[in-house]
Amino acid sequence: MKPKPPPADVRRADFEQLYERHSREVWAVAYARWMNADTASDVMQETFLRLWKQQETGETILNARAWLLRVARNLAEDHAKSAFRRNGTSPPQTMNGVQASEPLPLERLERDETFAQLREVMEQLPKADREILTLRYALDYETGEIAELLSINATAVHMRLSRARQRLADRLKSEGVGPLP
Amino acid sequence: MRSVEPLSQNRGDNVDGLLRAFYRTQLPNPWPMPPTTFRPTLPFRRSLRGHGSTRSRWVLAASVALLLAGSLLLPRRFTSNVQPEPGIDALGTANRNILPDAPKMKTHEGKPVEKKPLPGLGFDEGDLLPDLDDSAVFPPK
Repeated sequence: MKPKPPPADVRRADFEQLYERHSREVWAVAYARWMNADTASDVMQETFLRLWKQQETGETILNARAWLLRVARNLAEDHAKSAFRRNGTSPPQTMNGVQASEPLPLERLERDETFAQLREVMEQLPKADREILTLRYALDYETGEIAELLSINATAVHMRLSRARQRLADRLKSEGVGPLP
Repeated sequence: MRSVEPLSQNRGDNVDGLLRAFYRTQLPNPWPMPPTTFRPTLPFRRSLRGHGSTRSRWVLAASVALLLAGSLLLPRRFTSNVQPEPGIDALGTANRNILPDAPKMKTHEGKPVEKKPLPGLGFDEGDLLPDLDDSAVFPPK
């Protein structure tokens, strides 16, 4: 006999707990794929909606974290096929300069320029590099947490992270991207 | 304790600082709320007495009866005392039979219109087909 599902408010509370615990990781995975905060947020929301629907069907998800990350990766890949992506739009960061009616302070402009260059350089990095850098610097994860998330050991995390930073630093240097003003 | 060490002190600091500052601008702030997964529904109020539906049916029947009675009685009330004007019946529509005789149409300057041949044909309408007897159509065998 199938066990009776918990009441709706309990299910909602469980769902919100999962969101609180894993939403940043899901965002980071999507962000590392596209280097776009809005896209990452969309993918994150869609991933959790799917989790909710899955739970509502009564199916038990043994490892919610692994499930979420797998779905987020798939959704991020599918995003490439979507009409939105195909038709092409300018990322919000590009449009900010157009929409702004008042002049920005010089320092802010220089900082935005540096970040835009950094984004371009990171987009040229391998996906694995972007992912580990995002986990390390966006979520401030430690080696153990990254190792657990990526299902690799701590030594591998050290090595991947070291190489990713090396590649990034080399490309930043070749592109002439300096430190922040 | 952070177990991740920078590559070299100077370059590592630069890259670390740049990355941290960059990601700080990228993370949504405030963090978005979890997606709305359900529509809150108002609790359905059931009648505790158990005959709420009977009552509503009586109210509906009374409303329909009132509507029918009104539609039947009200027109009679307003039309019974009204005397129709000549040429207009009780419903206010014109009656052709009781209208006075309309003046007949006159021809131009009081003369009858002459029958003229159609322009370009050169003969009257009656001349279009000549009289033919059957022998012209069906020759004798």
